[in-house]
Amino acid sequence: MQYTTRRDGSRVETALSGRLTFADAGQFPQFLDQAVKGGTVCDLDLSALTFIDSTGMSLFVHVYDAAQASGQKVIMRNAKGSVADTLRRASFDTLFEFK
Amino acid sequence: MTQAVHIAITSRGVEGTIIERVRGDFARRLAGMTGRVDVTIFDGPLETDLAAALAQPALICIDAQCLDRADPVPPRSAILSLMVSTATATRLDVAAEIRYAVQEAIGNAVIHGNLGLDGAMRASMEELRLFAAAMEQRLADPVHACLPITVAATHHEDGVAISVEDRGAGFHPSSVRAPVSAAAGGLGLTIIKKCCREIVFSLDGRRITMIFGAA
Repeated sequence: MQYTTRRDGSRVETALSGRLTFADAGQFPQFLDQAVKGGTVCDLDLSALTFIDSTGMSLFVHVYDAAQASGQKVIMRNAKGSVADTLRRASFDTLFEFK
Repeated sequence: MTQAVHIAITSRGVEGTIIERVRGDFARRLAGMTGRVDVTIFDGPLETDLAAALAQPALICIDAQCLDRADPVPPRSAILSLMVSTATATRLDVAAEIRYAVQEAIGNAVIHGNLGLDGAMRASMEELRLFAAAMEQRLADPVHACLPITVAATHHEDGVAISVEDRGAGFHPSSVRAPVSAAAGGLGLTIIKKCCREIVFSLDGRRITMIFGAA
């Protein structure tokens, strides 16, 4: 997985790309520090994410937990193909706003 | 007079001495067999295109990084066998088109098997930091990083069986508990069960065989 973050006022926009899998677990804490800390809105652009496994999904559970603790709103946008299917099957669309 | 088996090796950036060693290993293990065995050996840390390494005529595909810690000769019944190091399995798309079930099995083989990490360590943010640090540390240690993950496909009645084997401590399937939280993972085995017709554990839990095909 690769990602870039950009702050726009109280909004933190993060674009993820590539495959989000067990192989990325080592960088989850850094991702959470950059994408979720600070701001009131955490905006995740998944348009370039091509695959996600169960470990990848666990990252978004941490995003949810961190956002709940700090009162942030999380938006997931542009999930496509198998990534969108996987997230909906796991009911992430009930945890986050999907766009 | 009986002809010896012909070991045809394709190298992807691997030294000649390693190739000759593998040729010798195969010749000894396959003594008595005839015909041709196509083997591809690749340099795990440098390989960027696993699909190309797996392309025909390869029937056996081996990451040279794990040769010192593994017997490279797969079961004779395998129709395609791939052996990669733990480090390579974290870097390349080993699951390729087989996707979900194999992806989860390889994830389990890496995290719980060869790296010996407990997924439950990821339940909280603090635990996730410890887990991530331990994962990075073990991936930097050849004792863990060079252990092999072996993926093999075999014919199985009306379908295909794909096995994933690690060199970890193994586990007993009945000891698997429900995850303490979704953040801690533990969904891999559930996903595997949904994706295939049957699963069988062997080698004290170090090998999972997933059977795909008509129910």
